[in-house]
Amino acid sequence: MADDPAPASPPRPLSVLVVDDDEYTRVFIGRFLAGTARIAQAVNGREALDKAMAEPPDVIVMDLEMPVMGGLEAAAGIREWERREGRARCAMIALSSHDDEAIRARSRKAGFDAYLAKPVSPDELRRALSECSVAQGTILVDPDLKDALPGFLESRRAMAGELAQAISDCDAERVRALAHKLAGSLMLYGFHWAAERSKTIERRAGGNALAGLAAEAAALRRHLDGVQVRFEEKKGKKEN
Amino acid sequence: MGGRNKLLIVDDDKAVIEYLRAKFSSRYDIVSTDAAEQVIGLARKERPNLILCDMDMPGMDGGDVSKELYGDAEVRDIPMLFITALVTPTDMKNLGHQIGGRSAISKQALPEELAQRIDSLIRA
Repeated sequence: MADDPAPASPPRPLSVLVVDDDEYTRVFIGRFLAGTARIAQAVNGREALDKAMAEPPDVIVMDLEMPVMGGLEAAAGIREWERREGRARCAMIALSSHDDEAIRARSRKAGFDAYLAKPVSPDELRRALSECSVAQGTILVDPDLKDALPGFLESRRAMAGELAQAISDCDAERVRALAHKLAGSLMLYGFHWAAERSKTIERRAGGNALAGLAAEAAALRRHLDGVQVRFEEKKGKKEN
Repeated sequence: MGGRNKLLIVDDDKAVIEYLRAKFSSRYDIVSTDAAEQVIGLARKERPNLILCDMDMPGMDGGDVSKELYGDAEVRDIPMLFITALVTPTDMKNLGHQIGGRSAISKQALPEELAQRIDSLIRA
């Protein structure tokens, strides 16, 4: 196995529970995830709660407005059950046709980790799933990158070390160049959280604002040192 | 030969080249370099159907590569596609998918979208 430097759990497909009373949304998300995840569906919050307790999924993608029981109530119920039973916390992504700060805040309070406004594009869904995986401490990686990944992570860890050094040397241009390289490559390989962090460092170094960047770089380094990866299941039909 | 198109990939980060190889070597023949100064020589030797070139590189950047290619009658007509992390897909759309008169794509674009751009530029 080429997994040693990048500790990878067995390639078990991600299990995703898609909850929406709208069949179109369930079909859309199901089609998008087909081949990369094991999918279960529910048509309201009550059913989601039952299914999540019977077979806890890795991720729940759930609409907020549904008959019988809405997403906010179901999410709160699931979090309560996880706490009570000492279960691992699944990632939860809220879907809603409303996009205002108040509803986002309510969804966070109910226990959602991410919020997507409908209509959702495949890119947005992919990113949210990936970010939730980070929250869970695991990154989902394209299986085509399996051979390249150990070397990639090793080189990025070294680069994060150089970045920390460049920050302590107050070499803003070197910091910017390294963070730029990290941001672009981490994005390509699916490490979105680390890529965003690198982008922030790049932006601030570009404006010569190095104060506080040592902590950012340390967080990036810790993340790359401890990150777990899981390879997405290979699709039956490969696009490349 | 066999109808496969050849790409010349230029990026100062070997990890990006590896990524592109992993995603596209089943579809295209690929030659690559992480040294922008080698592009003209490689383009003359390899005659790629398209040059996929990073923008932000130390020393000779994508703009310099583009200028050199354009100044060389032998390789001027090879289509070039900038690939960059400097611009998001949305910003790239607002730029009309071009930077400095050359076609461009964000590194955040999905592989299928990149393949479509490559194919359409080769066909044009």
